[in-house]
Amino acid sequence: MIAIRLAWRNLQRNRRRTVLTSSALAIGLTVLIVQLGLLDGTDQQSINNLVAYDVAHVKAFAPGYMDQDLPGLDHTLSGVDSLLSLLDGTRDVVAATARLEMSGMLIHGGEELFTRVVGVDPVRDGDVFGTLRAVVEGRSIQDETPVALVGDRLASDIGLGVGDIVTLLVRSAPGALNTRTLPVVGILSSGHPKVDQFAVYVPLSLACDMALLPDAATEIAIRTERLKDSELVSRTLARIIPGPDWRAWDDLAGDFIRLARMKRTAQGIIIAVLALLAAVGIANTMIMAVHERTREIGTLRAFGFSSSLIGRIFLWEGMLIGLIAGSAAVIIGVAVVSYLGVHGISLEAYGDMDIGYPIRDAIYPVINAGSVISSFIFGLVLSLLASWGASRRAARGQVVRALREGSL
Amino acid sequence: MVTIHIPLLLSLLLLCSMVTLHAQTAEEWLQRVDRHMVLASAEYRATMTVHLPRGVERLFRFEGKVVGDRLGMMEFLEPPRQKGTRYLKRENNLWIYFPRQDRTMQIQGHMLRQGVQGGDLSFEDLTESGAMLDRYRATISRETDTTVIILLESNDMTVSYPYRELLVDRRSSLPIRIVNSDAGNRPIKEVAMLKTERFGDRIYPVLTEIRSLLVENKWTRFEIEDIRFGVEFPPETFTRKMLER
Amino acid sequence: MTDDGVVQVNGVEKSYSEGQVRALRGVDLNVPQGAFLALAGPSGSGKSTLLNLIGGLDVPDSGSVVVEGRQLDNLSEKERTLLRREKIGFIFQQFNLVPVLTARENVELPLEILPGYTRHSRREAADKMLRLVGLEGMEDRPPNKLSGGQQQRVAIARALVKRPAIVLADEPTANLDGETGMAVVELMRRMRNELGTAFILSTHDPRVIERAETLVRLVDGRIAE
Ligand SMILES: Nc1ncnc2c1ncn2[C@@H]1O[C@H](COP(=O)(O)OP(=O)(O)OP(=O)(O)O)[C@@H](O)[C@H]1O
Ligand SMILES: [Mg+2]
Repeated sequence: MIAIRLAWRNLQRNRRRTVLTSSALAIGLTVLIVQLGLLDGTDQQSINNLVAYDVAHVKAFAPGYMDQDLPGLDHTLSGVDSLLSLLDGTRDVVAATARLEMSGMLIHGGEELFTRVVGVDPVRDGDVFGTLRAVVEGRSIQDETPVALVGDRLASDIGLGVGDIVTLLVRSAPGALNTRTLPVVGILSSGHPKVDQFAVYVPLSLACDMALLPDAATEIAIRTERLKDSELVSRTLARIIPGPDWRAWDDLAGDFIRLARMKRTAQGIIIAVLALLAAVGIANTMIMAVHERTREIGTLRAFGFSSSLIGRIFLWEGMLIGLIAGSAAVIIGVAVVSYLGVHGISLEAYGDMDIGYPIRDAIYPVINAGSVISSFIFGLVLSLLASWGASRRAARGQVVRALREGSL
Repeated sequence: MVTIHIPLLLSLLLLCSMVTLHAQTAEEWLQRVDRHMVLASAEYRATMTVHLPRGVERLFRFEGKVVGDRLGMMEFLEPPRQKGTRYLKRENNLWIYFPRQDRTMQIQGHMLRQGVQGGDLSFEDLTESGAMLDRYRATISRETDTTVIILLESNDMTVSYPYRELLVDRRSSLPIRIVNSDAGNRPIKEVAMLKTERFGDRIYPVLTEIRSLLVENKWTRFEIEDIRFGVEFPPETFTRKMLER
Repeated sequence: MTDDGVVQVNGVEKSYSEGQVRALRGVDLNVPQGAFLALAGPSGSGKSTLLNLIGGLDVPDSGSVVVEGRQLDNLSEKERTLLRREKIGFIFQQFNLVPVLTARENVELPLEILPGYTRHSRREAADKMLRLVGLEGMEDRPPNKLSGGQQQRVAIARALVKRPAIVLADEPTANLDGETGMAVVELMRRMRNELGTAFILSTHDPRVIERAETLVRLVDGRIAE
């Protein structure tokens, strides 16, 4: 207790120095908290978008499909109708739908774009994916009538609008080229670049016709009760319906998750450097404090304060700086993240640039208790480590010299 | 032995005379076309002009060696940015070598059918030189004094253009115009032989225009500057080693 | 030598700088309980060195120092720390009050590390001590709001609050003007009278020497009779 009290008093006495030192750390930790909030928000939004428009909860593919660099029609699922009715009667499966996806060209006048042609089940798709509900202009795909939906980015890239006629050119499974000319009936806007920029949606039956593959699909996508259970459900399905290659969402989003982790690491390094600077500041302050208070250290030692107790006084000083800085950072950081969480950080400046996340328009940071607490603890640990040296030095000094010369 | 040979010789003679007198069936016409067009082995230098819808034009110059539709090697001479880039085709495999990065990339499966340099000529088009007779059923749809229109229909759906229409010049037995269509017989591309030249007993198109029928104002022109047929290539010509030399 | 002394020093030698400076060259000293002893001598004669050895802040090269029956050179650093904590009070030339603590907190300081004290009893003991040294009403002042003499009184209270057997004061008046210094010495004597604590003061102030009951003179590291 006396160690904390002395530490606290000393901090109060050198108020300016304390404020300066803890400000540096507080800024570092605030940046960390905001940054993590940003990352957490980005991850959450990304995952939401990925699940809603891309990877669903669980998917089934034909074996070998996922091994291709650019998945084509070489490995497709057949007997899709019976597979779907089997899934409909399976526990844990809330909804299931089939999609047939292939590479192709979208042609409109003099414009020609590489795209993914995605055949969607007009009835079932909406129970698994949000894609068909992401129509912002025109209407969605309602039946097997040959119509197309395109993303808003793709549309604006080549000046497409609702009612325009486009031609799709694909390579069918056997190899022959196949084309269809059909009207665009709706424009999609989801936030996921794959939907908004790189895909054209058509009714599943049309896609099958174009691929010359009746009753086939490149994937069956499933919605489960909870995203968290997808891994489990995937394994269960693999057991009860062997044959297809079953994958849970996090497996499919692997690239994204790896990327997110990488960004986290990269940003972590930047923050670590920032924090290190702050820690150097603390270390410096603490060494200065030990230096200034040598005679005091000698006096306390003469009174019978043990060297470890002396060390603890300085350790506490550092810790308190960390506590002050951490508390300030938590308050400021949480406030900033909350504000940004409501107002969002516009991505307009990035324009159509691919920022590597399935997100656009704005990022909404979120407060994640784990992130905030770990930032706080990180600050404490950092300040503890920073004051370690000074503390050791204070504890190790010789009493006689400290008293006589005022130096350790 | 002799008794076996006589009918064979006879039928051959008969066939030859029929062909020279006047080709009648669609198959025969196609055979004659293939005789001009199929390259058992050849070495050439050519330019390719890719015209894109917005008026952008790109010019490529390259040298190539082919043996049927099995082996092919191509090297870009122009533009400077592409100079030294080589393509190697062996059976169904295609490799591209980029000298700047000293890197080789293998093109597989459907990528083979991608247009080269944004043009309408796919890797497959560039390197394939097989006989049409093997892959299509042919019928004559119309005949005039100077031309024959032959319709081709794929036996299966494994070719890029399951339906093709050839406008063959009676005199030269060369297709002057080819319309390539998709699986539903919807036209996709039109190939026009704008200029031909005689090389010994072979007539070969030296200026060809491939026009997209889907994308407005997009075409590719292919001009042979120099070609030699029946070249004997050393066995190592079509190897990875020569590609990356 | 009598063995009832609170401090017994026998043939102590101490040198510094690898033997080049011989600070003490065989010192014998017996300090009885309740003594009021002045250690006099010129600068560099070894007064501080001797006090440090008695206080267990340092150990002799040879010879022995016994405090309250315990031979210091046989004790570990830890044990010496404990001995200091319980038995020895220190007063310094520069007062050495902890600047961030009030007078009362400074006095409470030695009790913080002793068992058996509550917050309340510490405060009571400190206030009582401050009253005894005549600083009633100044308990809450920080050191920089006290005069030199008042600071040294706080230091005396701090040294005495745990009722040590012995108080070691290294030139306690050197930083005070004559009159204040005398008052401080008088206070110490009075405290000795009241509490029975032995005092050893190092000094070269003749007026302090005058007020000592026992005088030991050190010259070149030896006791001069
Ligand atoms: N830690 C040390 N390292 C080196 N020499 C020392 C040390 N402490 C004391 N000395 C030397 O030992 C001798 C005795 O010093 P000491 O401080 O005991 O004398 P003193 O009588 O207290 O003198 P003063 O009246 O100046 O305080 C001196 O020559 C001093 O320089
Ligand atoms: Mg001295």
